[in-house]
Amino acid sequence: MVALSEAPLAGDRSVRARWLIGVLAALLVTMMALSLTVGAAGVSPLAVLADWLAGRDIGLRERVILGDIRLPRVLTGVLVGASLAVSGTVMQGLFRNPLADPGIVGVGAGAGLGAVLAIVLGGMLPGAVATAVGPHLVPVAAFLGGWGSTLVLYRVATRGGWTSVATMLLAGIALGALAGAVTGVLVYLADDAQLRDLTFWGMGSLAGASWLKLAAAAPVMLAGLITAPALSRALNALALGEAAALHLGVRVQRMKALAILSVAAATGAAVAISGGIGFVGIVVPHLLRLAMGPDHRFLLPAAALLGACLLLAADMMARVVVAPAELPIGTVTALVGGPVFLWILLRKRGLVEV
Amino acid sequence: MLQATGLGITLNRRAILTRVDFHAAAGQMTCIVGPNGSGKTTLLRALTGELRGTGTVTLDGDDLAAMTPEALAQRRAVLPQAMPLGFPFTVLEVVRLGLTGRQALAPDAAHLPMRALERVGLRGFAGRFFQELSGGEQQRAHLARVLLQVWQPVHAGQPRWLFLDEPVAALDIGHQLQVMRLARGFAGAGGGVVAVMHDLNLTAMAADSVCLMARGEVVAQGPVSRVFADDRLSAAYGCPVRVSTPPAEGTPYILPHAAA
Repeated sequence: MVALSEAPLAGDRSVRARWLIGVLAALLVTMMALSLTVGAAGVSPLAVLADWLAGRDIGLRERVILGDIRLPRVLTGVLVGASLAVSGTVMQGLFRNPLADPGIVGVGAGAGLGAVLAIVLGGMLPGAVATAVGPHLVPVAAFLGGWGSTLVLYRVATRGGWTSVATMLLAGIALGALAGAVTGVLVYLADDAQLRDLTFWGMGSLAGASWLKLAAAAPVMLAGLITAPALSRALNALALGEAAALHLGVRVQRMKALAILSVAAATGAAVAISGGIGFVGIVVPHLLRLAMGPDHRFLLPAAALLGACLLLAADMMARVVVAPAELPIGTVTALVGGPVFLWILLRKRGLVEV
Repeated sequence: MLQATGLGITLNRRAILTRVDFHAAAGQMTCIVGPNGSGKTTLLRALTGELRGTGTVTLDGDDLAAMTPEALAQRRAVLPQAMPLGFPFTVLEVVRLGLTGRQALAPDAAHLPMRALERVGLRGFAGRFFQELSGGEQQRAHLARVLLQVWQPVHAGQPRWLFLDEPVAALDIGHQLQVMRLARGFAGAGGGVVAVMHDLNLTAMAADSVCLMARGEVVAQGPVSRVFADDRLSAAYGCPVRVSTPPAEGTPYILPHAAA
C-alpha cells in the first residue's frame, strides 16, 4: 500500500520540510566555508588546505588568522544564530503567538542585565566562587537574567494557559525599560576597564569571538539547543491549548518549565557572547512557517540551520560593506528584521488586538 | 466503568461541585445535561483528569489521580469546547496530533489521519488551513482528531473512553446526527462515551443513561425514560417543560411550554 512513488497526502508538509532541512544544511556548510574566506586579511583557506594536504608548513600568520580569529568567529556565529532562532521558535510555541521573540518581549534585555551585572560586579565575588565559575560567569549570569525575565513575563501575560498578546508586549516593554535603567546605573558605577568591556559587548558583534569565550558560552547555548527538540511534540499539542495538550498526554507544567529554561539558556548565552543581536528569533521561524508549516518537529532543526546561515550572512555583510572597518552585526540584522516584523504585523493585524 | 465518588471541585475559591457521585458504563453513551452554570463542564473536566479536587475518580478500576498524562492519553480522548488554534496548521496536521503513544509507531500510522477525516466527512478538507474552516467544520476536524486517539484501540477490543463537551454546539442538524452516530458507534464497539449536552431531544435519542445536574449537584442519573420527567426537568431548568412519548416511536421529546 505504501509505495515510494506515492504522492504526499494533501495537507502533509513533512516531505517538503525534510527537503528544506537538507537544503538548509547544505547552505550552512557553504556559508561556513565562505565565511572562512572573507576577511580584511587576504588569506585563502583553500591555499592553506592545499599546503596542509601537501604536508608543507603553514605560516604563523595563516594559522593565527584562520585558526584563532576566523574559525572561532564562524563557530560562534553558527551557535549564536542557531540559539537565537531556536529560542524564538520555542518561545513563540510556548506563548502560542508568532510575535513572541526573546528580543522583543524583554528576555534579551533581562539576559543583558545579567551580563552587565556580571561584568561590573563580578569582581566583588568571593575569590573561591570567582575561580569556580571562571569565564562562565558572564554567560551563566545572562542565562539567570533571561530566565528571571521569562518567568516574570509568563506569569504576567498568561492566565489559565491563555496569553494576552497586548499584555505580553507591554510587559516586555516594562521589563526592557527596567533592565535598561538598572544597566544604566551599573554603567555609571563601572570603572574604565569595565566600561571598555561593556561598550564592546553592547555593540552586538561577533568581532570579539575567541576560543576562550566560545568555550565559556557554548555549553550553555548547547544545553538550550539540545533541550528544544525534546519539546517539539509538546509544542505542537500546545497549539491546541493547554487543556487539549494535557488530554493528548503532555505534562504541561513540566514542559512549560523546560521550554522557559531552554529559551533562557540559549538566549542568555547568545546575548552574553555577542551582545544584542535582534530579529533573528522572529524572522527565521516566521519565514520557515510560511515555507513548511508550524510542525515543531521540523521547524526547530530548520530554525537552527537557517538562524546560523542568516547570522553568518549578516556577519559577512558587516565585515565587507565598510571594510576594513566593521558594522555592528546587530545593525545588519535589524535592517533586515525590522521590515519583516512590520510585514508580519501588516499581514496579521488581528493578532495584536486579541 | 467510570466511577466518581464524593467529587468536590473548587475553582477560584468558589465551590462548583460538592460531593457529586457519577458513574458511566463502557459500551454505553452517558449524557450530562442541566442548565448553564450547573457544573456540567466542570464535572467533565474532573472526569478527564484535567481538574483535581476532593473525592475519587476511577477509570476501569484505576485511580485517575495516580495516572500520568501519558497513561491517561492511552485510555481516553477528550473533545473540549473550542479553543482558537495557535499556528497555521493544515487540517491534516491538526488531526495527526491525535496520533499518540504506540499508535504513532504503527505501520499504517500515515493513513490513519485521513481515515479519521473520512469518518467525519472532511476528507476533501485535509489540505486546507484549519483556521479557514467554518466553526462547524473546525469542530468536526477536532472530533476526527479525538476519535483518531481512541478509535482503532477500541475496535481492537481494548477499553477506551471518549469525553465530549458540547460536541454538537456549532453544528447543523444533519451534522448533529452524524456526530451522535459516531459517538454511538464508538459505544457500540465497546467504548464508553460521556458527553455534555444542551439539546435534550438529541440526548433522549442517543443516550443510554443521562445525568441531570443543577446548582453543582446531580439531581438524578439513570435511563432517559426515568430521568426525563416533567416536574424534574421543570425544576432543574426553572421553566415549564413537558415530556411526551409518542407510543409509535418510544423516544421521548421535550418541549418548553408557555405558562398556560
